Amino acid sequence: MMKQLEILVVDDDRDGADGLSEALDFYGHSVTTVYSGEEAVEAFRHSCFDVTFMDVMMLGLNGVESFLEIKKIEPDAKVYMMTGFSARDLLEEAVGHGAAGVFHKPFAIEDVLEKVIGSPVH
Amino acid sequence: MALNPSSPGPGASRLFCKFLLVLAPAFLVSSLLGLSLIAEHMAQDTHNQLSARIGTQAAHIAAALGRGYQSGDTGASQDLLSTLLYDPAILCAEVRSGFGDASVLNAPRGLGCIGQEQAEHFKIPVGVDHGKVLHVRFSSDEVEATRRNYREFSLLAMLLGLLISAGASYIGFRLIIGRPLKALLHAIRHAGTSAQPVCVPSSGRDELGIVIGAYNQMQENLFEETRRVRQKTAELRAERHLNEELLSKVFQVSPYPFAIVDPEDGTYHNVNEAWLSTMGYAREEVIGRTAGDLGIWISSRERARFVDQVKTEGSAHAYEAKVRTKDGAELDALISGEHVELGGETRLFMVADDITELKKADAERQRHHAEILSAKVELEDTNRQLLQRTEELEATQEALVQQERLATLGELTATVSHELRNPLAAIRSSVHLAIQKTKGLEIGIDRPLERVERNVVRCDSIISDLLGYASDPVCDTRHVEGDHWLRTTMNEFDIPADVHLITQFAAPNAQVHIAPERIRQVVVNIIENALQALAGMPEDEPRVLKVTTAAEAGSYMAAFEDSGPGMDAETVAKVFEPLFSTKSYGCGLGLATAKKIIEKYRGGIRFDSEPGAGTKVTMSLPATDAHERAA
Repeated sequence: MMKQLEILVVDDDRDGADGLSEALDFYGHSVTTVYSGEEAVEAFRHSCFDVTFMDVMMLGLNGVESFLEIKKIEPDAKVYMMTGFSARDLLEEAVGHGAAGVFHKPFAIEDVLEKVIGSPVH
Repeated sequence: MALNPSSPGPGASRLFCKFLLVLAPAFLVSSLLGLSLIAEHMAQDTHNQLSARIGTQAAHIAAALGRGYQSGDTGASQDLLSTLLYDPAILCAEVRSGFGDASVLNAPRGLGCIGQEQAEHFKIPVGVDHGKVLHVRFSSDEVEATRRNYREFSLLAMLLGLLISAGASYIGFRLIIGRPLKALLHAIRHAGTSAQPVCVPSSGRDELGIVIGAYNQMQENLFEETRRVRQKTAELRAERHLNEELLSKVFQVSPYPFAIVDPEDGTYHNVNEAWLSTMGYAREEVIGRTAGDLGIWISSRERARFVDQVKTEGSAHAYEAKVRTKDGAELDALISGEHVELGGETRLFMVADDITELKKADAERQRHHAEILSAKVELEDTNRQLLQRTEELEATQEALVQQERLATLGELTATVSHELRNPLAAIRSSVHLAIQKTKGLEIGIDRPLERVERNVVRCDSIISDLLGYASDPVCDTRHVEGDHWLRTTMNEFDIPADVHLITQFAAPNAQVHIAPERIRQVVVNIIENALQALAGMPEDEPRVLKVTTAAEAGSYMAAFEDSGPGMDAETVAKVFEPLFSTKSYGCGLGLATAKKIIEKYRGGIRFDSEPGAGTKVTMSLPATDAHERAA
């Protein structure tokens, strides 16, 4: 039995965010969906998440900036970066600051589940 | 000139001379013959007279003896015989009988008549007693004496005649031949010494006269010839004098150094002012001394060679040598020399041309020439570099334009990719959800949804290809060991089990300076192509992928060879063109991207293929030797 996780999905592409959220939800996880970096940071102020899927290229606070803010609130937050293309500098910065991994869009849900299930749950 | 005409003239005296010379001896000889005949005749007369006298006397005695025998008075007979015997001419007188008994009546000479063969002999019969004969032998000495007398006389006369004849001949010879001959000899002896031709007076039309005439003609010819020769000699002398004068002036005033030296020992006999001023000597320091004494020639061997050349060839022209002046300066000179006859002596006439400045100028010119050449080479080199640089700049410019174009394209592609991948991500997750939710419902939606998901992946692959070609991500470069890196990269591939992979890594020390991620993309593209080619092969065909490496002339070479169907030349020519593809899927950017990346790292890529013979893709990268690098 797969452990139910508290998951935050952050993407300013609403279809992308909802698609991923619904799929994760289908597997029995508790998914919170937000559509900007600012909302994600705000969500961390009130809740705890086992896993966060963060889009990199977003208007306002981008994914990496949001990740860094979240790390200030929850230093052990497990955040996976999602990107449509190789924003190499941003990704390096995020991985350098402890991002859990990177998923390149359009990734397979199976890959996500495999990696996330195998990861320790906060 | 005529000689003293002491010889007789051609008149009577000359006839007389010829008479003396020819007729006198003949006359004398005939006279002598006459004398000889007369003497013989007179001797015969004497003989006859003697015979008559003795015969008469013997006849008288024989008659008396006969009468004495008749009378018996033999004494008287003896007396008669004795009387006979007193004649000096009688040798013996004897009476012989007819019976062989000989009775020498008287043999006053004591020897009888024996041995008196030459005596004349009278046999007179004594009248009374037949059979008795008076033999009287008398000597012919008297006759012989007479004959001898006459012969002596004849001989004397002959000798005298010969003397006279010889004298006459001598006189005649002197007169006819001797004098003209003497005159001729005199003329011959004095020929050529006189200002006039020495002619001998003609002695007539005889042989001598002809000889003298010929001599006179010769003398006149000779004189004329001599006159001409003398005239010519005088002209030549004048010319020679003029020449010598001219030569002397040229010698003295010539700006070229001249010297007249002894060809054997090199003693200077004369030098001109130019020579003295060039060499820095005073005349008295030079004349009478040798080139060796003064050390004129820097190399005595060169001087010996020069002299030898003049000796063997008669002259030497423009012989280049170094000479030393009095103050020790060394000059380059072109020396010419020739043997000349001066005052009956052979001298070596030498002229020199100081080419020191010329040689310096020539050396300077050559130096300039070399500099110009060097500058030309440098200029050509610079020009070549400039051309190369221009080409590089043009290439760079082209590359920049291309890069700019690609950058724009890359930017656009990146934006579009991002914008496409977001919806693709939404589609993919949504399709995934749909698949999961409809699983087991048997509503026939499974395959269409799977097709959607598969094509999402395809779209993503196309976007990746476009990004790979159009974008130029900044990647770190580092030195890696080619073989080690490639082996590691190859291990990452999931090679299908039916493909036989052969690897031969033969460049363990080759190091390449690359961005491994980017070159990995190259290898990925090549391997993917190869695997796709092998996948299309019939199942019974062997599927071999052979990867080999080598280090060659500063390059690291990696070859990927598949046993696939291969390609024709037309296809091979297009494989690196963007958007060219032989496959029904893909956008044809794999090898174009590989070429673009490998060229960025100053490498190259080569594609060899033939239908039915597989395909070989070789990539090369600049490499260094790890050992050398470590050193």
